[in-house]
Amino acid sequence: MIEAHGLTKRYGSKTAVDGIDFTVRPGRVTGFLGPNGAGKSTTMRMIVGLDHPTAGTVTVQGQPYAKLRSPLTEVGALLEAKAVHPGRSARGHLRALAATHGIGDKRVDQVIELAGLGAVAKKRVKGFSLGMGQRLGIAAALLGDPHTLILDEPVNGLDPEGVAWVRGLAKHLASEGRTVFLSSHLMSEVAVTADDLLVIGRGKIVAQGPVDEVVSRATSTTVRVRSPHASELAAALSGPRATIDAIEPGLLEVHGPTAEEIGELAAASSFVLHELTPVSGSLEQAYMSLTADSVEYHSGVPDDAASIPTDAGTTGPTSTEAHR
Amino acid sequence: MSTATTPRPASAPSASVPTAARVTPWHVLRSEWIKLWTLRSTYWTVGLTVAVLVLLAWAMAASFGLAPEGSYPGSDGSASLVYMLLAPGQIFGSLVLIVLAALTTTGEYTTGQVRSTFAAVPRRLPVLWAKGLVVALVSFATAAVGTALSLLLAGALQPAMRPDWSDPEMLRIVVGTPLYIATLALLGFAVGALLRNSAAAIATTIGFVLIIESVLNLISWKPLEYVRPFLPSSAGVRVATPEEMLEMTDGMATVAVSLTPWAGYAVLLGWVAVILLAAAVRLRTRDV
Repeated sequence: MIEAHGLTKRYGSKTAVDGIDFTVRPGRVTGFLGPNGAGKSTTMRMIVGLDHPTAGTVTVQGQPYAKLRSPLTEVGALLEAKAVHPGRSARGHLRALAATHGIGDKRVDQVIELAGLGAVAKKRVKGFSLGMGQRLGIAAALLGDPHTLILDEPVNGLDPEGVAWVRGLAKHLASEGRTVFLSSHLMSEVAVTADDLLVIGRGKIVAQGPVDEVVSRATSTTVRVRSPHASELAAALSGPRATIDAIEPGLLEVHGPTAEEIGELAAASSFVLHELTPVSGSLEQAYMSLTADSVEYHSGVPDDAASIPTDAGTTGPTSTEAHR
Repeated sequence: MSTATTPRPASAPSASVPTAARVTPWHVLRSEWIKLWTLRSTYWTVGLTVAVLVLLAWAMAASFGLAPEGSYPGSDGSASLVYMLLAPGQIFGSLVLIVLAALTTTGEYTTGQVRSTFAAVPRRLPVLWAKGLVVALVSFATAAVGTALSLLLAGALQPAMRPDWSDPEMLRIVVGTPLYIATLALLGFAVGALLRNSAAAIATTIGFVLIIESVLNLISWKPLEYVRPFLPSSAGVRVATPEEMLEMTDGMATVAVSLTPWAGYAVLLGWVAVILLAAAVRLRTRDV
């Protein structure tokens, strides 16, 4: 169980984490989702006491991390791919960490096997690939057989086999009643692993709850309408419930009304329809719409380009946000 | 290949995690000991320090044989003569250990290891004390071995340089040498813990000890007489210097107060303590 109350972290004038509240429950995999720079890593570093919160608190099993007498058996954390001295062997690194808690070499060798590092355990970390570094980080997180696992971007740099392993491991650990909190900037990754979602953007929680709920709340029905009378149809549809995007002349994307409603309205007004397709909301779309305002680094499309009217013939609100 | 694909039941392996597993000062000390000896650089620096000490002693012994009678102070086997043998190593032998000592802590910051370390020991301060103790012990042992080998080698080459243990100052010079070297290393460690940057820590410590202190000892400006006795290395080295030599150096770089050998060593320890304290405060209050 991880609980945060009003958790805030400021670096000078920049607010990385802005008074967030959340609870990560045991027995479930909780995905921590957000664009790069949204505050995921800062939040995770605050949970394990590496960064001091500017305000607010965060506790693990009801206690601040720094107060735990046996942190490694309570919380296992993978924070950065290589929080390891590159001159040390994988085994040496794990032995040194285990020694802080009086955990013996037997457990060290177990997590080495568990993480599939047997062949490289005696090699210096210097020569490790990103994927092997991740496996070593996960091995370190498992050392104390902890009740809570915090994994920051665990699949980064892993090969497909490694990705499958991490997903399976996360679900397995949660099924044993442990708390598993893993972050990712990829919706698709979190969707296949997580039971609950915590979405963060610009340091604020923008959504939380079970994955299905978050997705359905964030996606509205979209209907693609192709018609030679697109602009007249758009005018007829426009209202407080509907958002209409003119994709190209003769093609609309309508958010709000259902396909049936649009079809009936078109028939009543004798507009010809060439296409009427409901487009179901996707996870990726939900994620985009949740974090659209909070992405710190947009790709290099100048804002001006987006605001050029796409179709002079349409009435109604012309959204500049690409929903594709 | 398939070792990694199937998640093993994590409950079975947990049997080897002791239920009493927890952080204790002793466990942290053991962890730091493992950390030190799982890096190759440790073996290099320790070996290099011993080699430097022995080589410098050998050079002093060899030049003693070539020098005209009376150009070396003290009688055969005296503390002053043994000091002449060990003096170059006191400065140059400590340089490599200062680097090792500073790197034990700055190396963690530059590599990111520090995040693993403090996630395991979130109270942080036990790590600082344990590291310092390991650095002090290993530095002292290394310098002691180097000093002992130096004495044996020089004694074999020049019987006049064989220590006469009846000299009341002999024990202090022979033990004081590794003590001074180990404490300088600890100074490097403390500066490293405070600055968290390898280059800055090494340059600051060695630059101060080798250059700034020498310059301050050379400038003949009256107020400096009150500064000189309290410079870390100049004060600390007194513990490994016979009285005869101390009078000579005090005469060359005039001082307002002439500290006893152990008082001088205490000044060096004081510097270490103050810098360590500053490092401890920074460690407690800042993010890593």
